[in-house]
Amino acid sequence: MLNPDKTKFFSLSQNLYNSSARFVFELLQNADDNSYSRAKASSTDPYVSFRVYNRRIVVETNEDGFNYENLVAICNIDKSSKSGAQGYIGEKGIGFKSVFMVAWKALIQSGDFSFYFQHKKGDTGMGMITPIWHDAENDLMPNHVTRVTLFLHDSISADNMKTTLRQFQEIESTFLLFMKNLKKVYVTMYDENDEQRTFTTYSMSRQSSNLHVVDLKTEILKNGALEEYSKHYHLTRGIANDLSMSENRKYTKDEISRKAYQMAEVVLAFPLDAKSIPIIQPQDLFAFLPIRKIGFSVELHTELLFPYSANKCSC
Amino acid sequence: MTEASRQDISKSSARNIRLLDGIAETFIKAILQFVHHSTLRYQWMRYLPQTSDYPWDIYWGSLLEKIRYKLQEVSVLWTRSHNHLRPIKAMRRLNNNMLDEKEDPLFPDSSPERYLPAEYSAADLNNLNNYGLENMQVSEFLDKVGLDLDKGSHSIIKASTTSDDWHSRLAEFLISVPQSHSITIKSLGIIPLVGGEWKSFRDHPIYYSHVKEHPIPTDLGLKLVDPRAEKNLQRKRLFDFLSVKTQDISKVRRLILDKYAIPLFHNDFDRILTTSRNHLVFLYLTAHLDMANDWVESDCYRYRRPYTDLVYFSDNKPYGAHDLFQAIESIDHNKESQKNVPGLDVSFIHPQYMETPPSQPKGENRSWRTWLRDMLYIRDFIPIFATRGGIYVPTYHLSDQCHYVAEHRPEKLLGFLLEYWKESEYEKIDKTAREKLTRELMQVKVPCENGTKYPLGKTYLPIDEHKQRARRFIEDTEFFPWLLIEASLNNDASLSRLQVLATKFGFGYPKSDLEFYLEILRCIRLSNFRTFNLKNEIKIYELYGLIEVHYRYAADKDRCRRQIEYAPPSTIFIHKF
Repeated sequence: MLNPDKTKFFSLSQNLYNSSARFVFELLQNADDNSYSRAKASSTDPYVSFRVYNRRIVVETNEDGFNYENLVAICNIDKSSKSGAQGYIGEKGIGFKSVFMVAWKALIQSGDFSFYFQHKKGDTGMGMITPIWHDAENDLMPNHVTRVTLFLHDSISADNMKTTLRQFQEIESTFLLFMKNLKKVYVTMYDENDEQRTFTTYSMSRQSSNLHVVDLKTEILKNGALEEYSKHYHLTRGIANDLSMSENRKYTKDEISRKAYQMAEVVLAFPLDAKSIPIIQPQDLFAFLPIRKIGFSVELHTELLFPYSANKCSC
Repeated sequence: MTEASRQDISKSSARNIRLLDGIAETFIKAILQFVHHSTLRYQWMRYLPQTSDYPWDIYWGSLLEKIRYKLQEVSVLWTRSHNHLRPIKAMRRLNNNMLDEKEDPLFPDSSPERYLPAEYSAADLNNLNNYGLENMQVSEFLDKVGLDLDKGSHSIIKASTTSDDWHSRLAEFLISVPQSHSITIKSLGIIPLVGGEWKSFRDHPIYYSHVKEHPIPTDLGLKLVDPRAEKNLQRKRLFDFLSVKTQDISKVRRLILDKYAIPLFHNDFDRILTTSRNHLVFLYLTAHLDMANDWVESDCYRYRRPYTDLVYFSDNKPYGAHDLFQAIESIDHNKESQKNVPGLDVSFIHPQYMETPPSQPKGENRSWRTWLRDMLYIRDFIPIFATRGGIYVPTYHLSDQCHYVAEHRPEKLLGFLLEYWKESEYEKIDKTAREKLTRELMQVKVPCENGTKYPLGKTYLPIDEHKQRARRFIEDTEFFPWLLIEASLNNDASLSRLQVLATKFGFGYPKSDLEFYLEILRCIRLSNFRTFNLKNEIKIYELYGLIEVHYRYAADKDRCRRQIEYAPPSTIFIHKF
C-alpha cells in the first residue's frame, strides 16, 4: 500500500468541495485522455457511455484497459501517468477524484482488474486513494470495455442531484470537437424504476469530400421516437508558442526540462450549414470545457487558465 | 453549462495573453484553408470579429487587433480573373459609378490586378472594411482614364463600338468628382472632334458643332465637337464642364465670308462645289438671325461676274433658260424639223446647288431660290428687251436672248414672250422706243401652222371665229398665216393671255374686215399661182364683191382705197383664156 501524507488529504478534500460541479466534464476529459490504440486499430470509434440510474451512474469506454501505471496514478494525488503537462485538466491533482462529491463508492472494472474506492462524508480521504479488490464473478464484463460504476450518496441533496442530472443533459455534440480521441458519447437516462427514458448518441465524423470539415450528429431516442440534429464545423488546429509557465499547476522536473509548457494547442471550429455556408452566432469559448459565450462566431478551445479561488464553501 | 459556472479565465496572466497570438495565427491558418474552398473562399470574412459586434474587453479586443495585424500579411482575396490570391490592401472595391450596366468595371484591370470578382457580395466585403479593404480612389480611376486615352486603337473611349450607355456612365463619373480633381479632368483629351481627333480644351478652344440647330461648316478652321457625341445628354454636360462653347452665329458667318475675300484657285472643282454649297446653305439658314450681315461676296462664288455675266437657274421649267438656251444635237439629219441648234452661251448655276434645297427656316421669309437669286444675282427672268447706252437716254432693242430664240428656237417665241412679258416694264418705255421695239419684234419670223415661217406681225391667232370666216374662201391646203401654237400653250388660259399680248403688240388679229379679205385674197393667189380652178374663180369674185362693198360703205374711203391699191399686186386676178 502506499503511504500518503495525511495533511495533503485534508487540503485535498477541502479543495474538492470548493471546485464547481463540473465533474461530468472531468469524466469526459478522463475518458478522452485514455489511449484507444486497440479500438483505432480495429477501426472502431473511441466512445464513452454514461448510464444514469436513480442511485448510480455507469461510465464505460472502449479504452485500451488499465495497467499497473494507471493504477498507481489513480491512487496518487500529485503524480499522474497521463500525457503530461499538456492536456491536463483539474490541476492541483483533483481530476478523477472529484467524483466523490456525488458518490461514496467508485467501482472500476477493466480487463482483469476489478476494484473500488470508497469515501463517505467525514472520512479521512484515505479511501479515495486506497483500492479495494472486488470479486467480479457475478458481474461479467464485455471484452475491451472499461467500466466505472459510481454509487451515489444517499444523502445527496435534491439540488445537487438536479445539478448533476442537468450536467448530463447539457452535454452537446460540440464537446466532441475538442476531444483528442473520443468520437462518440452515449447518454442513457433511466427513471426511478430503472426503466430507460432517453437514449442519446453524440457522434463526430470527418467529411470525406472535405477533410477539414466534421459532421456532428445528435440522435435522441425518446418514447419510441428518434430525433436527429446535425451540425457541421470546419476545424483548424494550431499551436501557441513561447508560453510562460502556468501559475496554476505544478510541473514535473521532466516537463520543466523539456519545456513542454511552452506550447499549447489551439483549436478553432467554424460552424457551417449543410451547404457549407457560414453560420454566424456567438459561440462558446472552450478551455477543455466550455467557459462562456464570448462573442466570437467561432468555437475556440485552448488551454486557458482559470483563476483558482480560495473561497470557503461548506458542502 | 454556461450558467453553471461563474468562473472566467484570468486575463492578466502572461500565459493567457501570449495564447492570443496562437489563437490569431490559427485563425489566419483557417482562412488560408478557406480560400481554397469553392464557396467559403467568398464568405469566410463573415467569421471575422468586428469591433461593433460585441462589447469586447481589453483582453479579447487585443485578439481582434492581432487578427487584423496578421491578416494584412497574407494573400486572402481572389482577383477578378480568379487567377491570383492577393492581400487585402492590394485590392480595391469599385464604386457603383465606376461600373457599366452589367456591373462590370468600365475599364479593364491593370497589372498587378486589383479588381474583386463579382462573387464577393457587398455585405461580405463590408466585413473587411475594418481589416484594410479600401475603395478605389478617384485619382486611381482617373489614372485609368488617362491610360485608356493613350492606348490609341485599343482605347475604349475612342472606339466606335463603345455603347452610348458606357459613355454616359463615364461622363457622369467625371462630372461628379470632387473639385480637387477638376484640373486633371480638364486636361484629358477626351472630347471627340469632327475629323476624328480627340482633344482637351487646353489645346484649343472647342465649339459645339451646331449653332441654333444649324450645322457649322467643318472647314472654317474651328475645332468642332463630333455631333454624334453631343446627342448624348451626359456627355453634353461633360463637354459643358470642359468649357466647350457654342460659337456666335455672326462669327461663323464672318469666317465663311472671309474665305471668299480672295478669289479661289480651282484645283479640285468637286470639292469646292460641295464646300461652297455648304457655306451658302449655312449663310441662308442663319440669314434671318444675323440680318445686319446678310450679304454675300458673290464675285468669288463663281467664275463669272454677277452684273455683266448672266447666270441663270438651271431648272427645267418650260421657257426657262435651260429649256430655251441649251444646244440641241439633231438626231436625224433627214428630218427637216430637227437640226443642230447651237446653244446660247450663258452660265447656269450648278445643279448641285438646287438639289435637295434646304427647307425654309422659321423666321426667314425668302425661299432658298429667292435668297440665292438676291444674293448671287442669279437670273430668274429673261428679258425680252435690253438697253444699251447711257443712263439718261437709254436705247432699247430686242435682247440677245430674244434674238437667239427668234433665230434658233422660233417655235418657242410665243411662249417666251408670254412668260417674260411684263406690262409694267413695257409701260416704262417711252412711246417712240416702244414702237421701235414692236416693229423689231413683229419682223421676227415665226412658224405657222403648216410649217412656213412668217413674220410675227403678219400672222393670225388661230381663233375659231376667224378660222371659220376664212374657211369660206380658203381651203385647208392653202396657206394662211395661222400662228402655230405650241402644245403647252394650247389651253384656254394661255390662249386668252396670248390674245391680250397680241392686242398689245398689234398682231394676230385682223385690224379690219377689209384687211382680212385682202389677206385671204392674197393667200389664195399665192397658193394658186399657176392653177386654174373654177371654184376658186367664184371665191375670188365673191371676195372682190365683198371688198367692193366694204369700200362703198367705208367711213374713210381714202384710206380704204389706199389699202386696196397698196395690196400686193398679185391680188389682181387675171383670168386667162
